[in-house]
Amino acid sequence: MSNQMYRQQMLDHYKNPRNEGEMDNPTHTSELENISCGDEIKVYLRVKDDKLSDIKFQGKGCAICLASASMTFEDIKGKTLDYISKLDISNVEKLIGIELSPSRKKCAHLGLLTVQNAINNK
Amino acid sequence: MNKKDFPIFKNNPNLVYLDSGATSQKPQSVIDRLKKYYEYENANVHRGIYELSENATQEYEKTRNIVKEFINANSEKEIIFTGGTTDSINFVAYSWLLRNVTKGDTVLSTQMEHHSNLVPWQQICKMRTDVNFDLIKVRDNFKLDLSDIQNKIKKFKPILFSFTHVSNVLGTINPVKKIIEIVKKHSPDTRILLDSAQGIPHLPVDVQDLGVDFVAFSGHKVYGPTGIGVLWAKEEILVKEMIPFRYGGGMIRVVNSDDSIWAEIPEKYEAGTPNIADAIGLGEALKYVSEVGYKKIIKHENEIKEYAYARLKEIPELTLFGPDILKNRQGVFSFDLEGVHSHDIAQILADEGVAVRAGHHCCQVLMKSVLDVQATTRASIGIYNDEDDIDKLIRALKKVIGIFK
Ligand SMILES: Cc1ncc(COP(=O)(O)O)c(C=O)c1O
Repeated sequence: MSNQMYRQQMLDHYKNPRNEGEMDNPTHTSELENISCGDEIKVYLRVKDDKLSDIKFQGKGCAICLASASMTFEDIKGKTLDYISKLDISNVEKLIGIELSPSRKKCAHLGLLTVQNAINNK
Repeated sequence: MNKKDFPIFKNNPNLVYLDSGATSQKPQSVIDRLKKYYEYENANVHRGIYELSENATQEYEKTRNIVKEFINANSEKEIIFTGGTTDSINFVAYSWLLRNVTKGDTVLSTQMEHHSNLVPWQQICKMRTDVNFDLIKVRDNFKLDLSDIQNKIKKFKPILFSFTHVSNVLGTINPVKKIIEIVKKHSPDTRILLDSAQGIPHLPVDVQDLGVDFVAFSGHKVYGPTGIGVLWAKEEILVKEMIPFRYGGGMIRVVNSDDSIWAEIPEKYEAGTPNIADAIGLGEALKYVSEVGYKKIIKHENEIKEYAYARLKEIPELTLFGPDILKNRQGVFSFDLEGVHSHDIAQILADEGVAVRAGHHCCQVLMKSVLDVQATTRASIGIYNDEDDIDKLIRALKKVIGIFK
């Protein structure tokens, strides 16, 4: 399983996360963590005309968490808030191409949840 | 050693179990004892006049005697059955500390404690005004700072000092007798609790020889069932300094509509139907440990510990936490691999059949204040582990390094 789980694309996103960093004057921000394992993600969003025009993030955590966040954020950039708010963990699993065990689902889900939290909090 | 006594390994032939710090596997004799109890002996205790109930009561009370002998308590009245270490400590927190603590008192614990030996004290201290809660420092060599103990004991004359026998993250074996000597010398009235959850599975505990006031441990870490544990306390403390914090059946002598009179110890502190089957199972587990004998257990675990330490040290990317002087260390190995999160390590190890623990191990204070890491990966050994298990661990770790290179 891990051979599949830690395949090249995942590891590449883990080692070179896309959209990593901070943003000046974001329209939305949020920060979430998985208490049990200490994964942490902070996102900065710029929303224009109900679309996510830009996203930046900073994170600490395992490869599954950070790579899933990087891949998810790459996917949702440019999409409508309505589209983003309807996504769930099954979409993340499809995106990264791995079926995860319940404990690892939490890791993979954190990025998406942080973005949805940022949107809902505004 | 003794792997054949543990059916889990027959039923999971590829399992490399290195998580005995979380819970131990169970020998056949314990499993059989539970089954026998439910199939032939099940009845409530202390109630029925019929034979089954008399017998269950006898078996339950016999276990109290087994525990008494095992830890060399003065009397079986000093053995209280609880749900586990956490339950035992909360029991002391509510039945003893909350009743006795007053303004200006200090409760002392350490930075290396499991949450269950830290949060209960912290919270009881917060319930009272002007009660100080303080933690003894862990030094760079992963041992408790004995001079910090001396200073704080002298300065605060704490009402309680509660510390662990063995650290579940670092493996540090605390010098219990030396610590108690320091405490007694500078503050003879300080009560001392020893959390032996990680001690008693590997090292003998003689409560009279140690000179402690309370000892807590869990059945499930010492080859017994889950849901059962022990609080040992000196009879004089149980009688004079504590009141029940759980009320109900089994713990009373007389109940009137306006007040009640408690039963004698230990019943006084065991409200409700106790965990009869698992208590009896714990007795069987302690019998198992006695039959193998601590001498053999220590010898075997030392060999595996030394082998594991040497092999782990061969991996340059790996940072090992815990004392380098192996006689001060139990077979618990927490480590960090450069650039790889502990979850990813544990996942890849799991796929190789190697069961380890990843995370903060219920020791967030230690993680944050001492180790300065978010999480570690931990391999911990039990009597059934052998060198082959360690070889498989090392092979799997090399695979992790290969994947993340
Ligand atoms: C040192 C220590 N104390 C206390 C506990 C809590 O034991 P339990 O969860 O059985 O109550 C543990 C369990 O991991 C432990 O390692």
